[in-house]
Amino acid sequence: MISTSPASNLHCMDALALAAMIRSHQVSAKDVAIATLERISVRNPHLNAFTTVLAESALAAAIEVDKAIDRGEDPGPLAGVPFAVKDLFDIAGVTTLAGSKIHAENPPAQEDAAAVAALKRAGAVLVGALNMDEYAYGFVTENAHYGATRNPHDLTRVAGGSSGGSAAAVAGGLVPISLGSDTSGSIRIPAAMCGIFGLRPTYGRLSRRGTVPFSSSFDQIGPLAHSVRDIAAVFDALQGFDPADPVCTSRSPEPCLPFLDRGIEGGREGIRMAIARGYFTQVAEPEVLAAVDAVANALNAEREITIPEIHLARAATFVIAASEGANFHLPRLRTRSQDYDPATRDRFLAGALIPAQWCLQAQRFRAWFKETVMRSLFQEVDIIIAPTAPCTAPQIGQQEMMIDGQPTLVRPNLGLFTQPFSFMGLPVLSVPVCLPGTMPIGVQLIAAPYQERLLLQTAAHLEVNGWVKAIVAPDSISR
Amino acid sequence: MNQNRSNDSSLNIPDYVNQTAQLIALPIDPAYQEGTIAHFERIYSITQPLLKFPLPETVEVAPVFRPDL
Repeated sequence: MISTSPASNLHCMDALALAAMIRSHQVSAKDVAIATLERISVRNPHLNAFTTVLAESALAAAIEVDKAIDRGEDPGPLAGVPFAVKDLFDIAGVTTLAGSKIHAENPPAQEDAAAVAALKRAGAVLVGALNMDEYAYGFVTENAHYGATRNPHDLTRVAGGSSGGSAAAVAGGLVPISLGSDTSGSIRIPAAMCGIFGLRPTYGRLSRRGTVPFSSSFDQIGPLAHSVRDIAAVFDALQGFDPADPVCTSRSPEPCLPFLDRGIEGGREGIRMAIARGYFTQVAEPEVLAAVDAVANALNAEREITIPEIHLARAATFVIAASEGANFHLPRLRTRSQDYDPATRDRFLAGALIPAQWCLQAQRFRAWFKETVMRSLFQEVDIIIAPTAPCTAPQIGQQEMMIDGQPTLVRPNLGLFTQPFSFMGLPVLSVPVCLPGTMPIGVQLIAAPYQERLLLQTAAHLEVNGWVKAIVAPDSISR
Repeated sequence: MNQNRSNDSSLNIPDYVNQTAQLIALPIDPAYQEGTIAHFERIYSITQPLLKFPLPETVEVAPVFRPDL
């Protein structure tokens, strides 16, 4: 956990520590908001994480939090905590850009996205919207319209994507928590590359209402944060059935925050851990595999598993996402293809031409995979450990990377290890590992559907013992 | 115009891309054709092993996927 510290170090504190200080009058929500906005004005020009800063409304919201506290009311578990959201979440009164030039012509959103509204109800203060790959189709956040978001740990490198602004804003200490979306790795990959925690909840667990979709078969939203307990607090605040999202679960919320200190003993036999090998070792850089082994050792995970047909799960994710994404954009592709980011345009055009048989086969394979592979998998293990990305953050503009001695294209391959778990709809937390002399590395912890609590308990155990840790990038790097 | 880069020598992906684009009324600017064809070839290449996987006839599509076990 990040401990309380003097006001000058507010940007290094996690959300729950900040909320505790605000509730106990050690610092006002207004002063936190002012400090946050000042920090954004100084550091964002270097990082390019924000597309919109909402200074006026943030200050007004913070003052309301202070008034509520003065009246003896509880403003919520995230009282006065600044947060920002990927620029595909609707914010009332602001045009949702989705990283695009075309959407910039839309009128302002009428109301907040469900997740934005939920965090405001929990007392958090929205300070802005964050950069992303255009329409969430990418893993690098090198946006032709709004610029590249830079990695706070090395400004010459990408922040990952598509929720790159969401990760850079947290890793750079601009906000303690943010929201992103993850279709096939877009929370986990930037979290890994920026050295923070990023949760993709179970498919259907949280409401996506008021977000711009990429591929509905996989889209999910989730938090990025400095600490496991912040991830849990945000996840808990976002849970709940929403009939407006056709895939949102009607299961009752299952709070995680109160259970984080339960450790990994679990039931009589403890939590069963396994390392994913085979497919997950074939194209990963050595330091990434070393990070996986470090986490596995910390958890005393000795069992190794090979998930059958996992390469086909990735293929099916790829074809379904390409096709669904193109279908969403088809009217615009017909008339305005010249206004798309060149990095996404040709992929959307190609996706529109995919034969129906390919998608139907992929969807049927998904049903087969669930019954044949997933069911037996989680009869044997509780937590699977796998790398998040095959490499650390590439350089901005880098087209190829060397993996296993082979030149490999960057953009299509960063999601090799995240796409299969999107396909399976599983909850996944990317945890940050810092090995000496390397950029941050992410390791995925994967659990059975709806087992976010188990996932976060495991991560909390790793964090408390210092095996994983999010680090706010030093100002010396970002200035 | 791109040469066909698939393994099947009888398959002409550039032709497929151009014809299918017409079929769905999707004009593709000549400046974007090469990139579109390259991406389609990538999708084709990734999808082939999936198409060859023998699924039982009883397996139905999961248009709204629910991962509940």
